[in-house]
Amino acid sequence: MADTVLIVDDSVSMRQMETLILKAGGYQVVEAANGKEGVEKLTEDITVVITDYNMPEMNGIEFIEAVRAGSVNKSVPILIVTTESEAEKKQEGKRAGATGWLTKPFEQDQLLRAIKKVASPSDF
Amino acid sequence: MPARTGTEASTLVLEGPLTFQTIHAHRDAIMKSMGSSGDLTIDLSGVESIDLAGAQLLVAVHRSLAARNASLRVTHAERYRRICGFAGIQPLGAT
Amino acid sequence: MSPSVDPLETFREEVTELLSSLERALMKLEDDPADTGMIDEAFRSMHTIKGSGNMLGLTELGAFTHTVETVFAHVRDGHAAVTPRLIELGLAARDHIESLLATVEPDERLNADGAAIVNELLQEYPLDSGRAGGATVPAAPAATESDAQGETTWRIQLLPASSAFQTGNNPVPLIRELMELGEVLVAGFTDQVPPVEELDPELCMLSWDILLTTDAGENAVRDVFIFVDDDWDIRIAAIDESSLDAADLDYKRLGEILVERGDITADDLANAVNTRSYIGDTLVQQGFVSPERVEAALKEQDLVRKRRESRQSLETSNTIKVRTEKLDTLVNLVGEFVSEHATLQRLATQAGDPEILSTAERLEGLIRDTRDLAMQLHMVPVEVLFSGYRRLVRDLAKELGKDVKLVLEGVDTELDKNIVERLKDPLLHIIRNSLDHGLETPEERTAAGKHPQGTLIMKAYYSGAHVAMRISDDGRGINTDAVREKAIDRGLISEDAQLGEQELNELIFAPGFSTAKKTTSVSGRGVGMDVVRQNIENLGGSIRIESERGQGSSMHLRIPLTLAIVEGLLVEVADQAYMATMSSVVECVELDDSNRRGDQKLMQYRGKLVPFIDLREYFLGITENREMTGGRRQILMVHSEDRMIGLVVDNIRDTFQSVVKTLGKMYEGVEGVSGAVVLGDGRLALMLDIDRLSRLAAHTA
Repeated sequence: MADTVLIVDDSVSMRQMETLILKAGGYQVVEAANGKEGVEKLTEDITVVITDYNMPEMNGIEFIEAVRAGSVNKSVPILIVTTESEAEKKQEGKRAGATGWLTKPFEQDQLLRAIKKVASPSDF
Repeated sequence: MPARTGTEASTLVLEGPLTFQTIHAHRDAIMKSMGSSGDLTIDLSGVESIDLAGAQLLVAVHRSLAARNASLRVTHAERYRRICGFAGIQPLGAT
Repeated sequence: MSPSVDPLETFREEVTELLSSLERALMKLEDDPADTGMIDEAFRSMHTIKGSGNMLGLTELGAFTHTVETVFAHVRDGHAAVTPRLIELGLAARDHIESLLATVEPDERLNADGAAIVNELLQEYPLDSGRAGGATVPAAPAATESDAQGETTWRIQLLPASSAFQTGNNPVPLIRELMELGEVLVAGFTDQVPPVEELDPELCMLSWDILLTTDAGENAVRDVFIFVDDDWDIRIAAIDESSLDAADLDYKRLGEILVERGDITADDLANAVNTRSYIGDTLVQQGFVSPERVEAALKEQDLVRKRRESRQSLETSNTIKVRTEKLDTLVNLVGEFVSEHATLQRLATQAGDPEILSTAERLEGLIRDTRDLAMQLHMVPVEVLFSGYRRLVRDLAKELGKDVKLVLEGVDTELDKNIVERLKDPLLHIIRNSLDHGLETPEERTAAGKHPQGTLIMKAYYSGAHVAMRISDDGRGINTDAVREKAIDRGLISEDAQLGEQELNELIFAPGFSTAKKTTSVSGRGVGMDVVRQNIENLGGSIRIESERGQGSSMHLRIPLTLAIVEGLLVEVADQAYMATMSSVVECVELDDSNRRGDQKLMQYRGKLVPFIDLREYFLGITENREMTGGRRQILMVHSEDRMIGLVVDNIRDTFQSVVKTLGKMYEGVEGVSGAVVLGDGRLALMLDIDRLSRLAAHTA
């Protein structure tokens, strides 16, 4: 089964672009419009999560904290994908338990590489 | 997931993934079968995958047993050996 | 809303929605400027437009929304209040975005509109320039370029945070990524894993040392860890570079590697070294380090050694090895060629046949080229010589309890291989002296207000037909008082001798001289600086010392580029031919009594008094003779180091190139002569030792 990426972003166009890239890269995609929806849609089948930083309802940081504190797929790799690039915000992300960071705008292969990097299986 | 304990009370057959997600259950099972003194054999024939958390657990078990002059034998240890080989760790107890 | 298949179309639809929510928010803010929820909504709509806009390559839009967003964030974060002007400008921004989106390519008028809105916004809310940056679109992270030259071996020490397993930042993918960069050697350490009873199995207690050999460059290596939590301890160090000298195959010792990796302390090492057995075993037995860490350090040592070995063989892959004897034979043959040609030239001149003469001349050109090539083949960079002392300096410094840094300069300078061979011992002795007598212990240096680490510099550079070398230290310099005392003791100078500092310094070259208080195993073994000077002069070179108390000493050497072939001026003294190396000759002048100064061996030369030696007198002991009265003799003005002297000869004949042969028994012990050459007519010419003669002249004058 193909690896599945959960996209958490409030921008429809952004989700659409990411979906196009990921599907071209051979991934299956699940979309969520904010952190709250992201928590609901996270299952054990998700290989990697990419999430926006600024979102209504539940922002990226709150979303990651919720996943790490939860019981479903709690160690899933989570990439923050955002226009923010301040070190301070990255720190905040890392503290919450983010696995990685990708700054928008990015090229197609940058996203795919970042995902591949965290999605490669760590068991034998 | 952890399964039966062998009749000798010294063989433990583990099942399912021996990974971060399941690590607590496996640890509990192993600790239980370590209750009595003596050597321990852990049979990995039912283990479908193992990660670093799993390998670390086996190393820790080996360490405990060695401290009480007992030994650990890990059988059907191909995956264990593979991850240790990858990570540059001695697959302690692997036969 | 059902999104279109085209992201740009979806974006337009999305922006339309976002713009109406922006408008709504601005209207509400007009009623209630304190409504932070609304300003946040205004911010978020701008933020989303910016993000997607940039992704779609709409840079004008991205830049514009960036400024508006920044102003909204400024207000949202409480740095400024909502003003009616902000509402007005926010609405203008909204309209501008709409127009931007309606066009394919924004025209000048539209851009001017945008700039006007940005300007007014920034007038209303002056931001620090860094944050305003209206026109800056966040650049995509630069692709990691290879910033390296050749392969480097990196030692990556990886101590993951204990939460490593939980955040998906598992070391496995990281190691895998390193593997993609190049060749890796992974050593995992389990020595921090507690017995299972004490283990929290979710925490990572493992750590790694990974050796990565790659040409990808440091940035690429560091990028692997860019996403990794800051509470991981990651150390990256280059331990071997292909640009490093391959000749220096030695890598660090096991103990040093362990200390460098932080596995043991220097004290641990010192303690363990006291016992005799194998250092790795000892450290493990004494509980300083786990066996797996020793194993890893040994692997590192092995890897670096192997890499250096293979590099060395690689370096020679497009070259062929030639035994030095063959090379020597070639150089000698060329020398014979030169000699034979001189004969041919002479015969041709005698015969007066123009065809033979021109052939001889063309032959001379060819021989010259062949000679140059043969000489080049025989040249090696002084690096070969210098880098051989690295180990010596390190070991000696340790033995003497000193901290010394060896700096090599001008290592590309080339010298004849035979000269290099013969310089080994003299340089060794100079270095030993420097470390033993010159450089102080760290305590002494600190007390003298110097850096605790002493520096020894070995430098080489071309200087005419010579290679100049300087071996200098920043040690205590020569203690001229002690030198003087010792020299009087040894009867080298009288008690009331008036000597300047430089003359006192030079005394260390006097036979049998040693200033060491006690004989150490390092420099007190027999040979003195006199032997060093002798050896260097035998090469046709010279040595002198400069020293300043408390500041250090330097030895200045002048070494001929090549031993094999010399170009010289032939002179005659009492029917014997002598040769002076061309590089030392300044000019020839006629001798007449007017430039003598009585009985003193001094002459007037260009307004200066210059010492001279009459070679007839010097070699044959003849003081006055028949031809003297005619005043037809010549003076050869030569210089050596900074001195100038005159050599009185009977005749000056010709220039000549030849191979120098070592002196036969007959001339052994003749001071002032350093070798012999065979002339075209089979006669022997003696090489004048200009350095020796000039010193002699300076002393007796």
